[in-house]
Amino acid sequence: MPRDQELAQGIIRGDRESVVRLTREELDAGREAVGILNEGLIPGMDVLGERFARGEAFIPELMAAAKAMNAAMEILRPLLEASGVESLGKVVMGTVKGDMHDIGKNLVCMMLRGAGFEVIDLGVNAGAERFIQAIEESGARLLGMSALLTTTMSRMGGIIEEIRKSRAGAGVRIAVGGAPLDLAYANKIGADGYAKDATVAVECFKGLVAALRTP
Amino acid sequence: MEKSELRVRVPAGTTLLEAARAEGYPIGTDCGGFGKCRRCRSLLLAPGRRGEAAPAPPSWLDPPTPAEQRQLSQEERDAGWRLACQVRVKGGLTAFVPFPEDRPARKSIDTQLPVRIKPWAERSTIWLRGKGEKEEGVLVERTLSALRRRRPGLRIDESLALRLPSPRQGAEGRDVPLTVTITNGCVVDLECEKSERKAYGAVIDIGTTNLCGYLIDMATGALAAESARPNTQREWGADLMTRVLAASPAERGGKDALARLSRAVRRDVDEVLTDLLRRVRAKRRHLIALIFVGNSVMHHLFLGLPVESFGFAPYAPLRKEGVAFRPAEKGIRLPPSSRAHFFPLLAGFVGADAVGVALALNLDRTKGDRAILALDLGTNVEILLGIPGESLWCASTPAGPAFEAGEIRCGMTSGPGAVCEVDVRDGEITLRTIEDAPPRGICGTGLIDAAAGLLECGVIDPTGRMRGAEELPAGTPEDIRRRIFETGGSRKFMLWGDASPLSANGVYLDQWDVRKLQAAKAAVRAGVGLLLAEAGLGWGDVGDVCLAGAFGTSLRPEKILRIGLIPEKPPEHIRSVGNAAASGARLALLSRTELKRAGEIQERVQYVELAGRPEFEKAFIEAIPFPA
Repeated sequence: MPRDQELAQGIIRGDRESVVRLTREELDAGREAVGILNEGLIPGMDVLGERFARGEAFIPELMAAAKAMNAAMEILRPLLEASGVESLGKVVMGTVKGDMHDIGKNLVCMMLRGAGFEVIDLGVNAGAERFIQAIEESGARLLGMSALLTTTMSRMGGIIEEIRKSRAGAGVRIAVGGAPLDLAYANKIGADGYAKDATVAVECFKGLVAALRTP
Repeated sequence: MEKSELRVRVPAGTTLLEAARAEGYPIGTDCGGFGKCRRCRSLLLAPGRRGEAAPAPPSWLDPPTPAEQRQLSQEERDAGWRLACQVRVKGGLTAFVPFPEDRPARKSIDTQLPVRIKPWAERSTIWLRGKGEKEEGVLVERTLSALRRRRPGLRIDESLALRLPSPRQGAEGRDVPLTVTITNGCVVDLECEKSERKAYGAVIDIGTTNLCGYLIDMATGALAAESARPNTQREWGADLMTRVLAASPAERGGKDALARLSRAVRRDVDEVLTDLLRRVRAKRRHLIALIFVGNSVMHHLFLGLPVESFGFAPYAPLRKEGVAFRPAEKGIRLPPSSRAHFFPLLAGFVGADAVGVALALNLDRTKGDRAILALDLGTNVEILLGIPGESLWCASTPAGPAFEAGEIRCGMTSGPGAVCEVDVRDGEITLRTIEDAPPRGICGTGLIDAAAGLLECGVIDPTGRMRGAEELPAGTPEDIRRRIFETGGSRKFMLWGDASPLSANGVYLDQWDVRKLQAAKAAVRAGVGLLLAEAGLGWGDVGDVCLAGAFGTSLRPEKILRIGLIPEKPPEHIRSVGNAAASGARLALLSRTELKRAGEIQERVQYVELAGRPEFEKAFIEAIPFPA
């Protein structure tokens, strides 16, 4: 359907105005929110994600697309909830203690929100206590953690352990990311998932949601 | 290794990288040998096989590790390429290594900077009328009292008495020469002879990757010799943070972690000094003064100070003040009379080298009506801003290793064969390499030039995306078009050689290389913008821009502007200043006024912390695209 292609193109170009306009027009024309999301917006995000993976698109393009996606989600979210479509889940996100780098983590937050997750962003320099407190308060079962330095990465394992030992943290699915990490390291420190960039992070958390639902 | 045959016997299970290192033929790495980069890639052949003939890997070889699967494409692995840091040697093998470790790039010191020589350490010969003394030492006593008469307040080093020489007996009535070394108003050495030898000072620049040493004639300020060597600490890891971890007892280092890393760098310093003195055939005793510069972590590791605090926010050094010390106390083989200063630090990531840059460029005394901006381009870019009216600002911004061509597909350090200049004119590409050797890889300046050239001919669009051959405008020459190819999931542009990444002889630019350069330049641009804003200035208030860094050749202003490292500026206002840190250290070696100024710079500088600022992210993302 050409309208879906227009929506997807709007996302790919990061054209927030046209994405919002098209979303409204589609709703006015009687289209269901879930159709707009799954057939227009998400395919656009998928195309951009693929380009990002090849280096053809970069941070500004991804940021703009995520913003356009979020703007459309603002409109669609109440309708989705009303029609019984559940949010994908709550994710607590933060850069670990001692680390002040957050551009990559912010990008992940944007992408997750665009994909339909609810994100509680703790910002930078977050220790185990703050993660645990956020899980307690929000009831989130998903947690994302980033580190950009080899030094702060070396403390991730300890933080994960502390979270898992806490009452609220037991059973929480944890994904990690950041430049110095790789899958082997993520496994070593007991993380449930690893994402090498923001687009992979979305897939990673979707996988963790599925894992939560099938115990 | 290319052209050189090397037969090495090693215990089974040693990695190829360790084996080559142990034999003194180190293989180049960006990551230090931890499977995080691909520079140590090597073509493995069964023993006796050589050249381009169909490669047959030895039968005992383990399958590629996960690190190799990440760093090497399927095509490359199929062709027999492996990472030297991952391959465990269990039998005979022949390896073709395209990137042996390069000898450190020469970093030029500016010895033309004007300085009024007023050294804090000097060595001079005085003559005393001999009285035919019978007792040893009397001559020395007389020398000291003569010196005291001439220079009231002169002190005598307490340990000197233990080291006093036996004077050659002066014949009655004849003049006897004595050579005295006076450092910081204190007699530290006395030789009972006329010294034909010059007195030398040394500037030592301890870098994370390489150390550079410059031997300076203390009387004239001229450069007598220079020397460089890799920092042995690279065996613990390439980036600064892996060093911090390795030197932290509580982390992976263990009890004497710090001592091990300290010892390694002190030995390197000692070797650089030995080489410098050997080049001019001077004795260790003739090296009377030293100035050390380096980043904050190298400063701490050399002096033996704990470095844990650098690893975690707020990344603060334990000590920032300048340090005066005897090199002999730090395990350097120099007599106790040699004295040294390590420049002060300005912040965790703005080190003693930045003080040197500020001194060399007179940033603390900027004249005229416009500010001077200095950038020291490395993994962490130090930004210094001298504003007329004696105000000095600094900040540091994380650029990643792109400026040093680290983690760049065909990246290499500034050794022979590194592409260092790229020009694209009328669809024709011309390359220049270091020492005009056949191209082997690309260094930092080459990366900047290549990006600038490909922007100019439309192969890279302003967002940084590499266009496919079919997307190029109709008039694009065929020679440009045919250089574009795609393997391993990303587009590439062949700069030199066969259009095949499997060939050891090709040098190409990958789409991801462009992205890494964009992130690096955006970090600089964002950092500069924020520092200027904090100082209450705009870009129009900046006059000259000075660029320092570990580049083999000078950065060309028009290329810098083409990639938008800094905002628009007439090219004549942009200049490369070589190893400005060492140039500044030389001033302090020759003048106690300049040495004092180094301390004043540290007291007066205003440091701006950029980490964790929301405005930084906004400015960074806005600065990623190239100028249209």
